[in-house]
Amino acid sequence: MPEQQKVFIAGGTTTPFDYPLNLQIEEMVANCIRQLYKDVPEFHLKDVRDNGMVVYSHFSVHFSHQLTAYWILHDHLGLVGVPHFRIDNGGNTGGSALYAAYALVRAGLADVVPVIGYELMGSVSQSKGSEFIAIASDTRYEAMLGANYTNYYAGLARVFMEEYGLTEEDFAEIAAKNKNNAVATGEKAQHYRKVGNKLTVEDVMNSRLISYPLKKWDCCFMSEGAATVLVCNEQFAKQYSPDYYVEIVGAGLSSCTIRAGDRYAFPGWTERYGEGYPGLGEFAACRHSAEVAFKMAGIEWKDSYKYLDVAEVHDAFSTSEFQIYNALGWCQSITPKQFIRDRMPMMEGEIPTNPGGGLIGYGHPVGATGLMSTVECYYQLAGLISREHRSTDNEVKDAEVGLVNSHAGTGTSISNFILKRV
Amino acid sequence: MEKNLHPTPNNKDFIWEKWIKLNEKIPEKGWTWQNVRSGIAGNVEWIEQQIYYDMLYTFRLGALSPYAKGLLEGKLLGTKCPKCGDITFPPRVNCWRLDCNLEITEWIEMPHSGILHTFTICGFAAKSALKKLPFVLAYVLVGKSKTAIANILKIAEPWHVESDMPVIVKFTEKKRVGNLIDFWFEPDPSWHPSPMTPEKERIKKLCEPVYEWIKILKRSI
Ligand SMILES: [Zn+2]
Repeated sequence: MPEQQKVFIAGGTTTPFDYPLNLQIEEMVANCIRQLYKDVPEFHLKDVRDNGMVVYSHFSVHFSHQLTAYWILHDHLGLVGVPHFRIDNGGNTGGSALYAAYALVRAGLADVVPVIGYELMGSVSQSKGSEFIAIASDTRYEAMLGANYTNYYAGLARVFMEEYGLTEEDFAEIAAKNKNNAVATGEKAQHYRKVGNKLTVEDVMNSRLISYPLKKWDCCFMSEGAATVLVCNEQFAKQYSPDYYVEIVGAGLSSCTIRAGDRYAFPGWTERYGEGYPGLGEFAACRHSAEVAFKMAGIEWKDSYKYLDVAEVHDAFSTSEFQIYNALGWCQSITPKQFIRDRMPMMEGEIPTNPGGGLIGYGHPVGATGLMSTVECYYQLAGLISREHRSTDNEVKDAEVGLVNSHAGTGTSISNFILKRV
Repeated sequence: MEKNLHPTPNNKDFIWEKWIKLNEKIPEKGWTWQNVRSGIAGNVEWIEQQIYYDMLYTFRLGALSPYAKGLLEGKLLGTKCPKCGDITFPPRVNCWRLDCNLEITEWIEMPHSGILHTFTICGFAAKSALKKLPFVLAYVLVGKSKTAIANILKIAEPWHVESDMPVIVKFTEKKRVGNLIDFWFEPDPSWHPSPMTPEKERIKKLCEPVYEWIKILKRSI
């Protein structure tokens, strides 16, 4: 029987994220692997052939106009005979694929598991694209209304806003933070490629209404791109990146209802957390998966930011980033309102969140997104920001422990990981 | 037939009415080549092809059929678990409580009224809904349902919508299709908006350009 082993990240990279990116999937992924060859010269796909598997991270066959698109990638990479499968878990596809790779190495079934994520989204018009994404909501009910995820999220945000007395400006602070962090990230980040300069809270407030309380700049944009995370055991981590490897010390994955309205009083949650939780304003699957990951890492959920130096979270909307703070237990000793007014998630704050730009700043090519968050967190912990970013304005100096969050549906599947510098 | 299972009817027992010939209006053609274009970006050669691909879905409602039939008749059908008594709308054809062992639920008629839990005012939406902008998407607890259902709330001045307001259900008088779009919510006639607040003024201002945009959009269609 294979033996349990510790799990590490020894490298990672992304293509630029943009819309459209004007590339085929095999060149996107080949670029990622060749970049890995440059960054991690000791790594070779032959190790995957001999000791590993590949987990592909891809959300939508609608977008890729191709079923099992990863079959194209796998033999393009020169791999036959190597086990491969694809994870799709909505917006949490990247996090779930990382979870699968983690589980494989942890269980001792494989020693080197590159997680390869990608998404084409510019293959259809923007409105068709939003509709494709909305097909992940229940098509017998919600999707038929002509609403899309932005509208659902706005409804959830509004009740959260009311509950904690938050204002549009509180969310706009988060949106501006992520856009501006992406300016330091540079060429790979969609906001830097498309807009290039910083935004103010006022810019966010003055942008057009998408779905109250969300305005244009509160939302991530559609994008295309690929990302790769090199997951492996300790022996390979030391061989590949003796000075730049981090350990995955906690991993949690949880789930919630597909229709947000169904979690109003779901027995599975009320039995665990008591009546009235999560309601529509809280992400219970985020709290639950975080609790699991924290426990593995010896971290308490309440005020968990005190144990963390940096976090890369799934900010599809500025509002959902705020709801994630709450689900991670960051607003327990201080109110959510005080948390943002004390500028806690800013670069200069207690827990810099989305220094890489997040989805709002870097982009959201669904299958690659959670991996991008992982790569950015890895760069921070491995001290690689000066090598990877345009400027070190978004570097968290001497970061040792980081959190990666990946998030799907209306909070329907959520994963959290704790990474630690070794 | 095992009475603890949803029945699986035999195809032979169906008497299908002929479909209205949709494919005369919307022909299915599969992969259809439309366009090609090419150019040079910097020093990179590129080429793009537009390819049209279509499909017509048949949603077979199965155990959910009573719900859809209810809508055709102007009724809201939810479900109730005979074991624990939980009521849900939208329906769940098996109980959601692990202790109830996927008990098959019973159909019950829901009242045409509920309480609005949360909402958003949409300034942008999918293509099929653009002309309705700015509209209110509301999550409503209908009757004694333990789940909220999302649907449109029709109201002349959307900035007046508030949490916990009572709403009623209205069915379309046009052709019903057995789907959520057969009905919508409206404020209960007994409800009156509270006075304007700074937040309401702000939402009203955010809506102004949406009204303008929709006017132009409607003219162009
Ligand atoms: Zn029951």
